[in-house]
Amino acid sequence: MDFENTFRIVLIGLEYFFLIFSILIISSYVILAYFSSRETKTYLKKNNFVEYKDLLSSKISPSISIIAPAFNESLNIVENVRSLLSIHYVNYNVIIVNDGSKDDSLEKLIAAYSLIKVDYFIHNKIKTQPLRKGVFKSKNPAFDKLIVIDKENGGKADALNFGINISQSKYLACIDVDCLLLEDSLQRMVKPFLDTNDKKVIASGGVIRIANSCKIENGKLIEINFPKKWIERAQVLEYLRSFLLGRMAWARLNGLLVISGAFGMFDREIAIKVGGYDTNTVGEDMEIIVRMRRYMEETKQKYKVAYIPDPLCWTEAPDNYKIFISQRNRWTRGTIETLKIHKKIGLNPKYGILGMLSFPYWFIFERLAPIVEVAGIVYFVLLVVFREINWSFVLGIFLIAYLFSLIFSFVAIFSEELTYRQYKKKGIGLILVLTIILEPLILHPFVLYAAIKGNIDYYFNKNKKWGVMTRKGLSKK
Amino acid sequence: MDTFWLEYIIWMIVVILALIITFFILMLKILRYHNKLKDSKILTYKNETEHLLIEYLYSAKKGLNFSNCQLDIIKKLKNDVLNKQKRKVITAVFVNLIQEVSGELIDSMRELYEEIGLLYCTEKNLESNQSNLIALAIRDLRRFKIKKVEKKIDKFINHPRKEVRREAHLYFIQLFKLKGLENLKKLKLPLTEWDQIQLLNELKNFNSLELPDISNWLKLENDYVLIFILNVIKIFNRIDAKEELLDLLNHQNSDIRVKVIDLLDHFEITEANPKLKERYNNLTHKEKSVFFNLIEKTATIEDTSFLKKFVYQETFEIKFKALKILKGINQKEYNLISKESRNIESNEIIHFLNSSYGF
Repeated sequence: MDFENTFRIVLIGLEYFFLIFSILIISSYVILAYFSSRETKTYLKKNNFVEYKDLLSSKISPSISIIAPAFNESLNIVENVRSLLSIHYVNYNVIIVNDGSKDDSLEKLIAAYSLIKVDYFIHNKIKTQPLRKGVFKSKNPAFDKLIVIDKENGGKADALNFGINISQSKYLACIDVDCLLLEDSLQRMVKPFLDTNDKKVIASGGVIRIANSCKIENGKLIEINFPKKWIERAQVLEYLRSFLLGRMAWARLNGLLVISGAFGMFDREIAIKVGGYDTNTVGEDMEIIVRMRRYMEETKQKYKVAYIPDPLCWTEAPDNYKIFISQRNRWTRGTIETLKIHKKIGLNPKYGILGMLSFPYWFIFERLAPIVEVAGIVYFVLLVVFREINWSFVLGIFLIAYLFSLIFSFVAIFSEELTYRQYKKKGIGLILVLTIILEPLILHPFVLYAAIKGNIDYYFNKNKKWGVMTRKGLSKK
Repeated sequence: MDTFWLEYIIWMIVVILALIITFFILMLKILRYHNKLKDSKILTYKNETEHLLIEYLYSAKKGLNFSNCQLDIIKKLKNDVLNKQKRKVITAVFVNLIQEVSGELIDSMRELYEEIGLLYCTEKNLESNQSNLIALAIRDLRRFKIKKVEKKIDKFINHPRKEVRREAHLYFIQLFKLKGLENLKKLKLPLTEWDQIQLLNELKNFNSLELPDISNWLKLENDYVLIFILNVIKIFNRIDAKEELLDLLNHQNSDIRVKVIDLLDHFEITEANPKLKERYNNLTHKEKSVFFNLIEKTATIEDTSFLKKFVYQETFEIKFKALKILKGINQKEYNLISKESRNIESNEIIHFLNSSYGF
């Protein structure tokens, strides 16, 4: 009798836990959506008449280094570099770090840009793998902005650190070499650094858009198309939700914990002070932001991590489930590693919003959410097996969860339609609605599976690192 | 009974959510349709306005205030300005076109801008509570070179919102040149780097000789304006206030001191070198770094003993510069250091300096 009572109390406790968790997560989304809409509105109001072109001719425009690590990118590297060299900014250089590629990336670059090896003294402010063939610059003055480094393989973080060591610019734009940056992307990304006096802007991030199916010629985005495959479409929706609702809101609260590795800009001095990217984590993009923020909090300096909602960077998203799962698995491991490295921050009032809000949020709603969700599913299955289920009740609860998820997707789409309107073509409206309806069924289960697999790999498969991210290349579309 | 009510509530929520989603689907459809329609209307109206404007500009008749054709166009545009959306389009077309025409045509456009009531609307926006509207209004007034609202703009030069302040100062500098620049003296609030870039861009249209005596500006209390003026000095190569510049080496703001040393480097002025060497240990890292740039340009063999102090100590950057300068001014001393050095970092630098032309 006692055991039965205890068991019943445990079950009731579990049910209340799931209920409270669901209410909290839904409430957090509502709050984030509210803050996000206010931030987007403010941003557009303040920036719709800004004259960015003044930066192009100014003698005091700050210097920026674009650092792009490349590993076996032979297929598109020449075009990708051409695209980076055609960005509209006055004072920048492009540092391509060939991270021990086994293909002919370097040879292609040497041939395409008339590169020659140069003497270059590199002060290893951040420890990295050594040079392999050396540092290359172009003989052709048209490409004098380009520096190519060929080094031993050390992973993306190590390659970025090498780029940081070689850069002499005030700001660093760290990007994936296969990303497509719009011509005015540097002008827009650097603005928060220049337009803030009361705080030091340590980093700025931008919205990443999915370029699958878009028409790209000579490294320029010619036509925006909605992807053809459902997995890609669902990711477009997911990115819109994440970037336009989530991150925009966190920017308003100055609580951003992550800037996408695809395109982010950093204050070089602070990036070096904190020791650059961590080469021991697969979530180096999140980790460096947390570490920079931690440094600023610990040294009691006022700071900000800025966020630009303009669609400045377009990237290729996985077009099959295998690669998608591998990518999300890595993201999960990266999140776990970062939260573990910086666990001291969690609920520590010394770290302000970072410790009391951002960190706990990420821990509960990003780190634990998939585990709680799977626990809920297991609990439900057990109930089905061992107890009589009120199916009408269960169906109602499932529908509420499902419909809520649709509402948030709609809010993200409205946010897009009222601001940037990138998907204007006829017929996309219907596809968007279908994507919203199908996304929880065709993408979310795989997100969940990848997150659980990421947890398992983190605890039981420590040797697993980046995984494979096969790309087809944007310009071949 | 309890379960019944709970179920009832749950299904009620489901129905409400389903209705909301149905509403959203319809809204999305309407919104996309509306946006498309709006885009097409705007495009048509934009083309129409451009056409009208060009017709207006080229249908002026000598001796007449306005030709009949111009009067018709004014009448039509006057009506259209009452519509907010059309007003936006007209303003955008005006703003674009005024940058492409010159001479009398600008005056003619300005006249039309006033005649159709756009100026009135813009001035109205100056009274708005929304800072973005005020900033936009000032921008339009600047672009149309409307000088008579000077007094109204004057009250915005210390506006709490930086975008408004920025537009106000741009207005004065672009329209009133040197007289407008004087308004910076009244600025009590900060100037961001972004503001400086925009203001300097306007100043590019000035002739260096037009700039008044710089020395007065170097006594201002607003550090941000002071930094701006130091930038102006560099860009315009105005070294007529050397004494005041040297005095600023004692300024309490290290950013200003860094700028001043950078200027000394730019003009290759060596007067301050002994003073800076004396207080070297009290300089900030940035000051030290720019000071070494100055030494790099102006060093003589006399600087050897000073430079030798840093070939084993200090940061990498300073070590590198010290060794590089030493190699240039005193090869004998440099060779001696090369032989004696046991410092790994210094040896790496020496190796690099010996085996390459540098980069």
